[in-house]
Amino acid sequence: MPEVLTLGSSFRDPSGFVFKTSKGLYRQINQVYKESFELLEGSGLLSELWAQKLLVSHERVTETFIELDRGYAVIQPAEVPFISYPYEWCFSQLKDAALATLKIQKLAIGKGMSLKDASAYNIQFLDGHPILIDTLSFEPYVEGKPWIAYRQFCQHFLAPLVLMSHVDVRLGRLSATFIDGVPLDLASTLSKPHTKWNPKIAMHLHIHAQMQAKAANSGTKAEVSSKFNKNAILGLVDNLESLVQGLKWAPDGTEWANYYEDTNYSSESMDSKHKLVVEFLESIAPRPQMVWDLGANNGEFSSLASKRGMMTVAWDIDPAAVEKNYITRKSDPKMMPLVQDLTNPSPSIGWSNAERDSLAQRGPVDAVMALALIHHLAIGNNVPLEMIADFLAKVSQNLIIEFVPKEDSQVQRLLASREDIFSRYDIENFRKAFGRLFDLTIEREIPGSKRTLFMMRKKAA
Amino acid sequence: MNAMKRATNLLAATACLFLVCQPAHAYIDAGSGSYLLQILFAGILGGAFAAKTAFTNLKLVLARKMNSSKGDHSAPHA
Repeated sequence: MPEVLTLGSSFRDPSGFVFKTSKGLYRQINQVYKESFELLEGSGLLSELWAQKLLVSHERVTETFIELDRGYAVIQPAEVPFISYPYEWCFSQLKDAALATLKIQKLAIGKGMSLKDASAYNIQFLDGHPILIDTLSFEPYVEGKPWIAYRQFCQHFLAPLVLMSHVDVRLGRLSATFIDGVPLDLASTLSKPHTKWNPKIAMHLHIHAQMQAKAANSGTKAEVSSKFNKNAILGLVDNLESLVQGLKWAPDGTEWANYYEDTNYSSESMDSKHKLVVEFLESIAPRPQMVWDLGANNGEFSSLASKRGMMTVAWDIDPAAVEKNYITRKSDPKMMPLVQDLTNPSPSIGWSNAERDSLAQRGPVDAVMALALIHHLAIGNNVPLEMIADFLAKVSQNLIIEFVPKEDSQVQRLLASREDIFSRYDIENFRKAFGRLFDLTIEREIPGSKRTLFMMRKKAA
Repeated sequence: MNAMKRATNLLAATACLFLVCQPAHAYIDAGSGSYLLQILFAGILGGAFAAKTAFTNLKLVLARKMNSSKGDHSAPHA
């Protein structure tokens, strides 16, 4: 039997678990889930969800079970090229993921099943669209039984969406602290001054939070067997859908969202930079399958890679820039815009620090682009050039990086309000710092600017 | 205690009357408060959904009738 690795995030649900072998990713379905899985297949729900691209496709395989006594079947799900997390999504990504979950629940009820969980981590983005990746998330629908995943849906989706929409978009990061979703009492306290007159938010968030507190104090532990017919559960889902649809967020002219209109680049030098980036990307052999664009802003340069069929993750610290990228490039199946603060990247979180991978654990990737980024790290965050090189060598095989000198107006802007303590920040020291870990294969000045673009390949260990 | 808290207390007390204890098999905690809330608002949610569905169906029937009557007028004479 090949070496098997059970995923650190796949332990809660006794219905089955995900494991990896050298041949790929598999999901074991346990005997306890046999009846539900047969209903999923037999009811037509599986084919309906596949037709609407709402559930990851799979094939039944004859892999050996990991735990023979518990196993019923093994499936091999289609590969999701990049795993992202809710705290890395922009507002519209979280909203689309929430709406996809509700649509799935409506379809499930129509076929005699119901979602037994509504975790945001069960949704991933495939070809630019949200898709459920947990095939074992369904249970038979029982008339009269309220939606078991309602609390989880409100914590994982509704609470952060309300906070992002009505309070501050940066509160989306709360999901990284609360792995089972934002506690409703916290979301209610933070958002109540802005939302108390909204009847839907009052019901699903404020009254819900108070009911949780009351029920917890009374110690009531119960399932309900009446009063909740099919119209009620469909009404609940419909009400949530209309609430989520109505939540909006729009950036109001942040510095970063307008970045490309606010640089010292002329249109001529911008064109030259485009051409150089394309030339550098095309020069990488073998052709990159996965590219990360760090500090991607609205994805203008990331799209040079994604349009060439390279799966491109466009990371940026600014939720507005990521929102803009996501909304304008939804039709690009190779583009994955995500929010990331490189000065404090996504850590590994959850049980035993093994449920959700850190940023670095999801690398290294074939190529990394770091355009107009280094001055923000070196001067904006005081990171020595050697430490920037160390990090980039950890996550990339090939590196396209732009050096922005002190004379550049963007660097001058960073230095305007502080003392210049960066005597070692120059192109010579840059070459030395990166030359320790990379072969500097191409170096070109960007016409019409003071900047230089480098192509580097990581040195063999 | 504000009005919302008083209303919630009353709703929670009322909801307990409808509870029937059963063994739970779910792997996530549904949360008693989340269950209670759904039961309390079941009538409103179900009623609103039924009304919405009926209205949508009525619109469909009317639209179909309008189309068929338009079709009758524009049908070529044999």
